[in-house]
Amino acid sequence: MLKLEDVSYVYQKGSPFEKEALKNVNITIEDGEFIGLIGHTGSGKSTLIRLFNGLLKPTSGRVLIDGVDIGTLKSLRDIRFKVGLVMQYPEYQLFEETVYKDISFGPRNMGLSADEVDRRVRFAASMVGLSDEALEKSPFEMSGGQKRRAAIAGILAMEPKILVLDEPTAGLDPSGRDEILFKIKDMHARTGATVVLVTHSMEDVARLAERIVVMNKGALAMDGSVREVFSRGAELEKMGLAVPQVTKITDNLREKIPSLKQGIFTIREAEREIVSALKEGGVS
Amino acid sequence: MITDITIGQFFPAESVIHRLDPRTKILLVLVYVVVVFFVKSFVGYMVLALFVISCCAMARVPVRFILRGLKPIMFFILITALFNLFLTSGGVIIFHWWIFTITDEGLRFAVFMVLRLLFLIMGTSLLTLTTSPILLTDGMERLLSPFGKIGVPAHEISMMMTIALRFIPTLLEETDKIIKAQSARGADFDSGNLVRRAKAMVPILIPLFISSFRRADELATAMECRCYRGGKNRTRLNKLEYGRRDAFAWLIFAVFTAAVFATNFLFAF
Amino acid sequence: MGTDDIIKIENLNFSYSNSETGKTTEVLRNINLNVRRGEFVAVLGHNGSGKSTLAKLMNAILTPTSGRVLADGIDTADEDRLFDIRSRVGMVFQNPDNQIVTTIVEEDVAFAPENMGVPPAEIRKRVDYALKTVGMYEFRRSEPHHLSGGQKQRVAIAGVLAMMPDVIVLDEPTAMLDPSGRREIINTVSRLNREEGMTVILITHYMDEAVRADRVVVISDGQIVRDASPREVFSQVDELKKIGLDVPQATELAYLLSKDGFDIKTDVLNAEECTSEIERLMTQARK
Repeated sequence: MLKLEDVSYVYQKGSPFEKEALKNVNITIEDGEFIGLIGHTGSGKSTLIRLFNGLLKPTSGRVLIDGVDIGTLKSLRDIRFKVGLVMQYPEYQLFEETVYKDISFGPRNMGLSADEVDRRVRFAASMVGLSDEALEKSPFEMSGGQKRRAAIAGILAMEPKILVLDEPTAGLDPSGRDEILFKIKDMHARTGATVVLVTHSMEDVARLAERIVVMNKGALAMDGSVREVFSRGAELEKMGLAVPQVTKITDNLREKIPSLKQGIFTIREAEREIVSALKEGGVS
Repeated sequence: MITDITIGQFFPAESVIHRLDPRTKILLVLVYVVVVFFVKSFVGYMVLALFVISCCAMARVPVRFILRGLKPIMFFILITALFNLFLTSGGVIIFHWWIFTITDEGLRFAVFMVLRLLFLIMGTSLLTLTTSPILLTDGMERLLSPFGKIGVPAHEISMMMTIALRFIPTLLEETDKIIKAQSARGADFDSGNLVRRAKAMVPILIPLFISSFRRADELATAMECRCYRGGKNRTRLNKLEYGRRDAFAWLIFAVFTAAVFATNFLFAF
Repeated sequence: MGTDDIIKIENLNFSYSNSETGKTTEVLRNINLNVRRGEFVAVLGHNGSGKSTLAKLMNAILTPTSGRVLADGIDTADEDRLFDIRSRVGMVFQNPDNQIVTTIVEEDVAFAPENMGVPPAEIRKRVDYALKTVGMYEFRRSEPHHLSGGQKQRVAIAGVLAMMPDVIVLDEPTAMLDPSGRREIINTVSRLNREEGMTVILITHYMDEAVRADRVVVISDGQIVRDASPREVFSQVDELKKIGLDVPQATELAYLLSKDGFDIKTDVLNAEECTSEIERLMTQARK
């Protein structure tokens, strides 16, 4: 369980460039949840996830992991292994001669036995769909999408209890994006790890997450189920966030078809709802 | 802290000194450096101090801003002073203990050395504080261009400096990101002996190199697309032009130089 | 001088060979494409489809293996006219950081005209015009690293505009930007086309950006597979999905409803059009 208690974060405190990035944030993330974290650039979401694994220390408030205040720990390395953070454009962190060696960097830092490192590397690689053959390649010979997957495997191999991904699909084309998202969902289902997915894409969140946390101007603006959050479309738009197109369509239609459900967010659901409304034909 | 260093930092303000032609300022600083080495008396240093402080005032750069920038190099200045203090022989011994001997000559040398370094740094930082990097490189390019005939690549040097200045913040940010990304994988940069620590840098340096090469490659293509073909037939948006104030600057500086040399003759102290 | 087709690509093939393995990779095959003056063309394709290579062939960064590319009637293989070609066909790339050369915005915008030997007074005019056109005039004295991604990319566009090109080619200009940055760029680009009459070639894999174009060219595996209006292209939902591209959710919803047997137009492109189509169905059903 990850818990943030009244956390604030101020960049360059005491200097003329002082900037409050987070104010009084309270969140509890239970084990095994799949959370979508959204907010536009500067909303504080990147700061927030850097607090999760101790890359930043809160200016005030506490970050608790499984009940332990990580501010009281001498070494944060164990926290880094517990909370795996995949940063934006993670392929830029690849550095080893082979993909295998690169994925093993995390587990080796954990001081695991050679056998255990090997098992984890292969498990993580299979999780992101990299073949044994790909493991022997140099990461710099691979395509953009493959590099991205290799970099994600580097975090997965630490087998973190909580996996945080900062825009894992940025810059990928639709099929590359779908592939990564599918692998993340699959990994969540198979390992039961907690997943926090940071993204700009409402469509991605709608497809994967169970719960959405919305950040705005350094504060927690919304926190609820996907349906709850998307049924507040007008408020989201005011924050500069767009709801998925189908949500907008069904919201528009509700004037004419009041029976339409609130917060519809997948095309299939929209189709079902509209078809049944059309079949009932004017009974409204 | 690295951010304390004022050498090479630009202090934007509206002032006569800021508006001086960069070529004037570069040449004046060069002459200034020579002049500083000719000061031989305390009175001379007082003239120097008066000059530098009035320049700061005219440039609207707070003197304490420059002094704060001296902090990181204070250590080196002190070491130099100590060397001069203890290793100068000759003159009257004013202090002796065990192997340490201080003579009045040594004391004088040490104090002069400190003053000389201080004034050198203050004067040269005034150049970079009042001249934007782009004007500075422009000025250098113009000053060096007559040497093009003997093979000095003036345009290329200034282009290199411009690009370096442009990419320093980008690469600093990138380094910070890579450090964070590798820390998230449990990389440990702070423990172990020197060899271990050097090895720990590999996961930072390799991605940084690769990214720098990629950037350089993309930048080269982008520059080609914008018709870059070296310095040939190039025009400039902002032309450098000497004005009346540049002539005044030289005049004032000449007076100052004369004053310094006069003190050498008039005052022994 | 000038022809009606600003870009003319005839029977173009492009392949490169790996110097180490000697293996030849075919990137583009039998491309024929004409872009008229004033047109807004989107080139849509997934990563590795060859669309970025196509962009680089338009201003002689690359030259065809066979076939030819004419930019304003000039053959891009003509090395003597390299700078004529590059100043007519402006190019904006994905990463704004890697195309800004100097430390002050207006100095950077001046970079291309300076290279072209334009007189200083004229450079000043062009720089001001370019910065105003992309809405970055008030940032002219700023340092690029203090700007947001979208702002930096607008500076890059201004830097190309200052060459007074006939056409601007943008190679995935929004791939590294957040949604507000993407909006900024797409609005800037469509305004350039509508108000300034600039010919625009936008290379992208985002279908919602391609929707704004007059014409969409779809590239898959090095070949042009579709070349039609956005309406025609996006109504082919299955075909696009097969080659790994998205369609707008609105289009997909209309497509699904039509498959369910409803009489709905499938060439809707946005939420509003889709809503009014469904409302039309609703009124029909009520009768």
